[in-house]
Amino acid sequence: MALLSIENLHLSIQSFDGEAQILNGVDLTLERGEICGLVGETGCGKSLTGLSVSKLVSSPPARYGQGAIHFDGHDILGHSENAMRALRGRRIGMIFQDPTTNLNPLFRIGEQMIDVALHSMGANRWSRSAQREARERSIAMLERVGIHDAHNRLDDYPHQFSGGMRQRVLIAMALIGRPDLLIADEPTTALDVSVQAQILKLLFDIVREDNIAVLLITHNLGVVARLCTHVAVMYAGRIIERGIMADVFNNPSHPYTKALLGAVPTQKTRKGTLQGLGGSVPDPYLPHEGCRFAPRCALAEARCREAVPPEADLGHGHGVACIKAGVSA
Amino acid sequence: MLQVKGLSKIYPARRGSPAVTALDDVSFTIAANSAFGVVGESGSGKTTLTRCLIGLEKPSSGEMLFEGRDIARLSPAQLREMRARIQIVFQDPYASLNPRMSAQDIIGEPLLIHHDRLQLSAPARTDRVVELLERVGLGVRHLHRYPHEFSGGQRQRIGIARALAVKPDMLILDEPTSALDVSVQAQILNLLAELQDSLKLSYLFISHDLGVVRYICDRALLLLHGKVIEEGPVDQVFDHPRSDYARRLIAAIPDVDPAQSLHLAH
Repeated sequence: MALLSIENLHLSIQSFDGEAQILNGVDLTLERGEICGLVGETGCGKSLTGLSVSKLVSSPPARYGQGAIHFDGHDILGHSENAMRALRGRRIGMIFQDPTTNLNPLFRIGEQMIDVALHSMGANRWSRSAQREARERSIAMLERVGIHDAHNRLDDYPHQFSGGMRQRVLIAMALIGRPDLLIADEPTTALDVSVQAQILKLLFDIVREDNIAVLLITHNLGVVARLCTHVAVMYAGRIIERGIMADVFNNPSHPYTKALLGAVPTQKTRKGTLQGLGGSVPDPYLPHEGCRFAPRCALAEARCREAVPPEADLGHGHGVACIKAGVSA
Repeated sequence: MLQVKGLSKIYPARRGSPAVTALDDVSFTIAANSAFGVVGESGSGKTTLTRCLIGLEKPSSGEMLFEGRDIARLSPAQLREMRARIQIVFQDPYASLNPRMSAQDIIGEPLLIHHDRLQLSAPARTDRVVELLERVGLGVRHLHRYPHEFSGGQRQRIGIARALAVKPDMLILDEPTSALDVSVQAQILNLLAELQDSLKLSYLFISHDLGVVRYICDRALLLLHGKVIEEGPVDQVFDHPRSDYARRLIAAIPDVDPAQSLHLAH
């Protein structure tokens, strides 16, 4: 049984404009030691998929329809808030995009970290010995993520850290409870490329050493190529292609995956020849039938608009939800 | 078109903090109808450089010759005239458009600001705005819409139309695609390449995305702590960098190539 399995997950959100259908049957599995890149354009539902795994989407306004999320035997969507609190930070760690807004500027790094450490230890936070141990753990974890002189830096405030250092602190906080699953939502988007490279290497080492699973949400395909073992491409609330990263990147089969890969300028791309993708993501408020990508797809034909294409298996777990998969554009 | 010679900018020491050298002896030349990339990490001086070029900062020393005249020495009236020749497109299309102004007002504003030079009547201004909207791939139907009704890519098109309104010779593009999805980024990059060709524009393209700079630019400059580390044609800068720093930076860019996976290295 996979560590994490998301099955046919549906999610809608009620707003003043009506009901937006955000997730339309997300299927995803993740094993220990795997780093799965979840990619797609803004608004495709990748962040909400990540938040759903730790049940951080407040409902209402959100409403889960069909589908389930299983994490190591736990039925996440059936869990109470108290049961989730026992999982978050201990079994499931999270890192978010912007390291400048995820640390409280008024508290020392140490206070914020020890707080998380105490929670993850499940210890009485007023016990001196637990506090001492939480401090020791925090120092050890900061050193592990590459912060030197950690026992002095615990007394620093967030503004005394650079962006890359703050992201390291957040990674340390996410890992301090020794989680089995790490959800990283755009962890390097706000960082410079050289810092990004360091953070990717750090995540890579942690996965190898601790044998944890990572769901990496990003729109940067280069980051996926560098770090991920697997990739899942999302479009309008559904995963339209997934598999081993090298299989998908070397042999993209869905027209959308091809278009995304073709939109990134590489060394060989000549000026003016970059393939943009016309049109825009579909409106989640509008009812729809058939393949959501059909309006932007050069290969679309009448039957694409009739029914949602089922996922076809191309071997080695490479799945693609397109009836024209493999046909060249 | 633009010649920068020995440009330095030092922010003097203040209570408790030492002086900061934001730019240190920076020199480069941008030829007419060419695209020049400026690459560097945060704090390397990219923003200070643009602020000097549009006259928002006075450099500590050095010259910035725009068609032979030093930008730092222009009178306020000359500076205003120069600013019609060099326009700027900002990074964040969500923050750089006034949410209370329609597309028509936003794109038409530079026409009003430079009215004394352009002398366009109100109907002529509307015509020009429509022409600009069409130029950037939007249309007359977008004239009365407000920024919140546009997607990120469309907003950036409006930002570009606004910059083109006064028929500049040069655009400063400050990370124009970093807030956009790759699919939209590709459209905007192609639009910029096409506009440069048809309007004979020069670009000063600021980015930390080396792939984008390589795609759009003819020459590029790499800044580190305000100093020029590399300068030359893009192929030379990216394929045969002379400094270790440039080599490391180029190696750090994640290419969409499974062959550079960290998993293969182990």
